[in-house]
Amino acid sequence: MRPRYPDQEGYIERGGVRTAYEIYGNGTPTVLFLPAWAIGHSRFWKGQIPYFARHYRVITFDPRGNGKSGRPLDPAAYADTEYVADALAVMDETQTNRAVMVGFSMGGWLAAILAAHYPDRVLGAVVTGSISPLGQMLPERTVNRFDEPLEIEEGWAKHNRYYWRKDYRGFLEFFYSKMFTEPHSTKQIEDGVSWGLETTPEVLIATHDSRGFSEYLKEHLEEALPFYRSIHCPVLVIHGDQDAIVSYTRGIAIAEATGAPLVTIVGGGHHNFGRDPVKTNLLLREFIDRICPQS
Amino acid sequence: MRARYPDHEGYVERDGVKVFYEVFGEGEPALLLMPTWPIIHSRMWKGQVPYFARYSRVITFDPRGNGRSDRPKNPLAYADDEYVADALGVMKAAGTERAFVVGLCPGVRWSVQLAAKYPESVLGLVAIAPGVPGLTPPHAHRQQFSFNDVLDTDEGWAKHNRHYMLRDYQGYAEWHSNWMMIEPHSTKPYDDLIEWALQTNAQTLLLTVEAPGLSTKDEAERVCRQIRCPVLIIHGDRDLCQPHSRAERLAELTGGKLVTLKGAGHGPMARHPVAVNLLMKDFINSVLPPEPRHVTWHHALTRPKRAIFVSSSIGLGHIQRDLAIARELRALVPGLEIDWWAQHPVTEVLKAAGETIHPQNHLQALESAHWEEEASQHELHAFYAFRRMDEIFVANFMLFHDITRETPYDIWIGDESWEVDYFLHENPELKTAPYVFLTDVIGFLPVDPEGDPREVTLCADYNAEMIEQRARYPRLRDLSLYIGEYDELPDVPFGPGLPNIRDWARDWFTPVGYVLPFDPLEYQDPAKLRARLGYGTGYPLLFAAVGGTGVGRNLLERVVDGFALLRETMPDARMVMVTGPRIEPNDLPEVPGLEKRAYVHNLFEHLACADAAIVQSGLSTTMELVATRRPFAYVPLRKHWEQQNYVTYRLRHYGARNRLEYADLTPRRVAETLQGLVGSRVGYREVPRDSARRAALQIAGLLSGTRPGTQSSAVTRQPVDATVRTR
Repeated sequence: MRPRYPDQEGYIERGGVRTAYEIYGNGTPTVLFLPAWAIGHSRFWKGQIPYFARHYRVITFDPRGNGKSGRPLDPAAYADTEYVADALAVMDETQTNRAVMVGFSMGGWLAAILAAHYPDRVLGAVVTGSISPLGQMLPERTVNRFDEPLEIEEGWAKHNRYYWRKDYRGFLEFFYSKMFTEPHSTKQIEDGVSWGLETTPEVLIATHDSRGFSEYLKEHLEEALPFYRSIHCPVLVIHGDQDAIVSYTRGIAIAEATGAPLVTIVGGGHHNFGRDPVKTNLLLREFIDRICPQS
Repeated sequence: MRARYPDHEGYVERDGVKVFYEVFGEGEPALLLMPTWPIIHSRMWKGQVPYFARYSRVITFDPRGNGRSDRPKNPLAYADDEYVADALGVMKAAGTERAFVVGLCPGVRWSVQLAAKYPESVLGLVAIAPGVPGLTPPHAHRQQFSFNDVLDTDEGWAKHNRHYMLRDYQGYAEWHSNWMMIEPHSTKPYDDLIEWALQTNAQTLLLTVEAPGLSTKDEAERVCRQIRCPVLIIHGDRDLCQPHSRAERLAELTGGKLVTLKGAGHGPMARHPVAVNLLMKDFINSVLPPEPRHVTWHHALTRPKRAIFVSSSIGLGHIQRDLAIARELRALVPGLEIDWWAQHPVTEVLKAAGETIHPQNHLQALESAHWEEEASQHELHAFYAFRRMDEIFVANFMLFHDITRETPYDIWIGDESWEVDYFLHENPELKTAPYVFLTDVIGFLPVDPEGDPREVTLCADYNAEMIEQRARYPRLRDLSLYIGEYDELPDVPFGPGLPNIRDWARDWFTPVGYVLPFDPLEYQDPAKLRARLGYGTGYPLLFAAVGGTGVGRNLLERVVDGFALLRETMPDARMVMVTGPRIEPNDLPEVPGLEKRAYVHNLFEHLACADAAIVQSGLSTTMELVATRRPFAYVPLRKHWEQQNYVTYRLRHYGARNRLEYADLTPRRVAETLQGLVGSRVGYREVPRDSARRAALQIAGLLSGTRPGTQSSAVTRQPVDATVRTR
């Protein structure tokens, strides 16, 4: 069982795809915990919900592709701009004018788009292990092609559409072990694998084949810096220096571009909110109370 | 001396009345600490100024009627409006447009008017024990007696009476200070209040009573309702001056936050400085959050093991034993990183030893400067001097608190870390790491029990407070290590009605033996040592030393005269006199055979080849002479509780009995003593050689989770494959 169940749940529907959201607590401000890649779902935030629900109003939603949300197979449905639109639709549906955005991995990227393009909906943004066009890709991830059948199946060679179809669980185990590089992370890894199994390799392949704003910026890198500099709300960047999914250099670059403080988790991996929930909860709490002082 | 001196001071003059102000530190947001009823003055904020001045500008001013401000003779000069105008004038003179304003009692009455009428000048208001009359009725005990009528009694609150104040102002001040500091063990803040009260007089205070100001309920409520800035109200539930209901009402009217201090009286900023400082800081941060910075947080398992070692700076002796303990500790806990928290001149020893000194170390208020200022003649009254360090202790504890919040040390080790120990017991919730306390002295014993009954009372009160603190929070110290054995302690009570020191120590301390910074077995051959150090042989080699402060000058002067006399009967005698860093050797007379040196590296090696020595009763020097089995005489500082009692007890235990009294120390006495010592045999008890290791074993147990003496069972198995199989 969960330590805290939602006070309200519901769906929004956009272009025939349903997105499931949950609301916890009724304080202010609203904290919107954004989804990451559809390899997992809103349960990524299980270490945050009970705590923040006691102080604020918490909204989570499952990403299209996993959890209680729909699983279209058209890559176009998985563009980052679709997730951003889902976030705004969930906010509209729940009468949430503005919220503090919290995202890790792809969710950090969604938070950046929301902050840059919809400033009147965003009180502040906290991004951890965030993907970004800034910074470098981890060297070990640049070696193998995703789209070609490979001879080898070791390490990042598993990040391959043929391998996914052949041994999906094997990929999940590999990926989540990279997400949690900290020793003694077995529970976090098992949780992740079980959430990954709630969707299918075909869905993940569709997400991989999507094209959105992220792909656009990768082809127009000169626009990436101005994009981040257009963010004016308070931002906090958290990044583990042992992140084996998204390079720590990306966290440094986002902090530099936005002028935001960077919290480095020395020895930390990719999902700091999952592996170091107490420390990250306290950091997030401090951030929220700073930008929205409680009377 | 003060823990922090102003960077700027001056006067503001209005209508011929001069008001004195001080400015400390720089930066926004500024903090204006308001005066209160002129029975006291701006030094009431001595526990706050050094802490807040580290962050931003702090402004204080003396109230008209006390301190260095004028004492006008007209009651109208003491009107509320005048104090408010003084506050604005002082802010302007200090170049400050906006400030957080903090007041106590009538200081709050003036502050609420300031905030209501000049909202652009006030960022936030901290109201301590708000003395805003009219908000709610006064305490019943304050309505019992008329202030203006002649009374037939002057017991209790009947003292708050015009005629009594004029008749016996000292009595009034004592009574007033007594109920302000209603908490037990408040003797020092009480003494401060009396001192400040006696800087003004009853006539002046009576003028303030007649002065016009905020008084009716309607007026008070109207003013408080006008306040728009954030408000924090702090009120002790045992405040006999202002009823708690006024704090509650002020909170209602201003939408402010009320913090009730249980058990606190009317002067919490003085009696509970740490708690009040932290409440104020939180409040300021909540209104104006500090700029966030980049920070690094180590995932717990990746952290190096880190200790902070607080080494008391009173004398240089402690650091040698602390370094010895640190060496042993590093051998027992591989990889242990130690940051040192110490003061000049101890830091010089640490630098020479290649140790790491905490980067914020230099921000401490200097203890050794305080001791020098306290020392006069051969009469440093160590207990009174210690007691007057109260404000240095608050300042340095606040700094220690800040730095241990920034770095999660695995252990705090304090060698006579008095400020850390005292304020942790006062604020036990601030302990966030295992904590070890080491000391070579337990309690205070009066040096003049016949002539100074106040000293007897105060020592007993300090001892009683320590005994109560330990009993209430036994686990606050994870270890209490006594540098010695129980029978080196005085076998006397802590004071009237208090336990025996030795018996109490058995319950509350683990003895580790006296810690030497060297192995005495290596210093058994004086002739060889003299050759190595270049002294040669064939003549009596004498030493005189007084430790690191300037206190010993008079002793050295007498020793110089005594040595000159000795040369008449022992013409080949030579003496090396070590003056320490604070006595200029050239200021002492020249005498044939006398060599004066400011500093001698590894002094113990030199003492170890002395034919005789005469030294001040510093613990380290005397025990080094015992360990190297040299004949010596010691002269305790006359009013030094530790040298008079504890060192003497310990030296007697070891069989070193040549104690000389400074008062009897004529040149002839010096000469005769040295003559008798040269060539005499000593029968000292042996000083243990393994004490540093005993101490380190105890401490290492806290770091490695094993009992002292056993090896830690580190995890040796290989980490599991990072990939977790879920099938």
